[in-house]
Amino acid sequence: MRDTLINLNQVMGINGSMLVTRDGMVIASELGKGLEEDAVAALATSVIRTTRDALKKIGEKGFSLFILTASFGRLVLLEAEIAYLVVVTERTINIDATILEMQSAVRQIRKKARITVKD
Amino acid sequence: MYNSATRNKAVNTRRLEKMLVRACKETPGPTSVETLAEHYLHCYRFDKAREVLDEGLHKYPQSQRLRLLEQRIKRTDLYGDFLKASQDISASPSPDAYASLAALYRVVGDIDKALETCAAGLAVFPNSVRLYLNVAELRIRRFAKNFMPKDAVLALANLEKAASLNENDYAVSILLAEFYLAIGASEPAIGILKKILVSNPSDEHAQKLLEAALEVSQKDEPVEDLVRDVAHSRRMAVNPAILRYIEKCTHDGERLPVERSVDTDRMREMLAAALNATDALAMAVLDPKGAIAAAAQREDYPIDIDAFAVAAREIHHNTNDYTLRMDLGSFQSGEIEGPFGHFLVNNVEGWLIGGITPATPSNRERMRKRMLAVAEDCILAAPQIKPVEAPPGADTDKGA
Repeated sequence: MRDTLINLNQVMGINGSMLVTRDGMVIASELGKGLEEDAVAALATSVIRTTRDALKKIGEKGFSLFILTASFGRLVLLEAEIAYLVVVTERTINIDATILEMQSAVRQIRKKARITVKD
Repeated sequence: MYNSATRNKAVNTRRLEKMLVRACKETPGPTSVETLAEHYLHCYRFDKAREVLDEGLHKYPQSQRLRLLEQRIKRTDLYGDFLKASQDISASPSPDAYASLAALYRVVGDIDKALETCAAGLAVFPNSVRLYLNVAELRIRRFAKNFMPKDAVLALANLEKAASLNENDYAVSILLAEFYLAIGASEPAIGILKKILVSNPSDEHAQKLLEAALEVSQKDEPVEDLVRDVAHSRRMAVNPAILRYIEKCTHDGERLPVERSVDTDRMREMLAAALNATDALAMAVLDPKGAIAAAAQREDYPIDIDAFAVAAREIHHNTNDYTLRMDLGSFQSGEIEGPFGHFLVNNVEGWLIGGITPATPSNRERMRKRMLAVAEDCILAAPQIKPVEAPPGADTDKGA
């Protein structure tokens, strides 16, 4: 899993990534300088919980992608079956192009998770 | 043949210009300004584009889209300067060369790049007072705008480092004293101001600051706690008018959020038009207190608008605190994709504009742009009433 995150972090504009379960447990993390694991995990857990609760209010069950844009950066969450892939990026990147890279990482994570379960 | 085609093109361009100028008058808002400025850029009439943009930014200083266009134009204008500054660093690296490049990034509004440049300079020149002062100014500028505690702590650390390298540097000493005072740490501020006044007893500004510092009751709290208090209340511990140097390094033409008289009928009309333009199913605008100001939905989409508004408000409210704590700044937008389609929430001056659409990833970008355009045109074009005076303890940026 860590290799997938390291490869993903090579993409320009990505500052770090981690895999976190819905309840906030960190499975793997590769965060860049200045990013604290606890803070990113807390934000991701809050986003996951709040969004699921908010969607329930309008009769929807879950989400596959969340792009949070703040003044100085972005946080992207993608559902990866066993957990959520959390990616911290710069504010100025072309988010739609970068999401393709993230989706590719999600596919690898899903594949690896299945192999691990079979073993 | 060629002449006729060229003439027709010129006529069409003039006709389009007239139409866009009229649109700016009839439907004022950031979108019409942006479209006209883009038209002038397309026709290589850069001066006219700048003129239109400057007027637009004067009217709508909080418009994100106009700021982005301004950055684009400034980057193009300063291309030669950027090239020269980069070449200077390669040819003869010096703290001044790094500071010049950082200043250019600051001009175009890219504070992250400016900080990165200063950090690169400090890696080569670890004793450069100028670079430490630059970092502090950039952090203070961000702190005054976004109130992220980490910016204040790092600004202080850099100013203290600069002061330790050169005790007699007036710019460093006065900014350090002002910043201590700004966060309510009066005792260290008094110490620095007394030192300044020993070497220059007639310094009126230092005298004024000392008087203010003596009036502030000293709190026996660590600096981090004082910073957190200021960040929480989103206002400095003393009257900002006396902080002349902080004002100098934070001034960037942006204004305080203002209370606006929003025309709800017009807003409803715009939402209805936006529903058609984006294939959205429902859209709602929430005022800074969280109440629904206007909403529109398709007849065949039976969504509970109140629940939809609560969902938008909770997504914004619960994530904003964390983004500030993580140094990402304040919440600007949230996009959620799921089996239902797309759910977008935009924050403009504390107003939230939420929309739900069955959009596919292919038209995500179109939806995002359209939502921001509606949000800015609805809110920023509304007449201003007065600047928002935040009550103590209130977080104005939280909006709804």
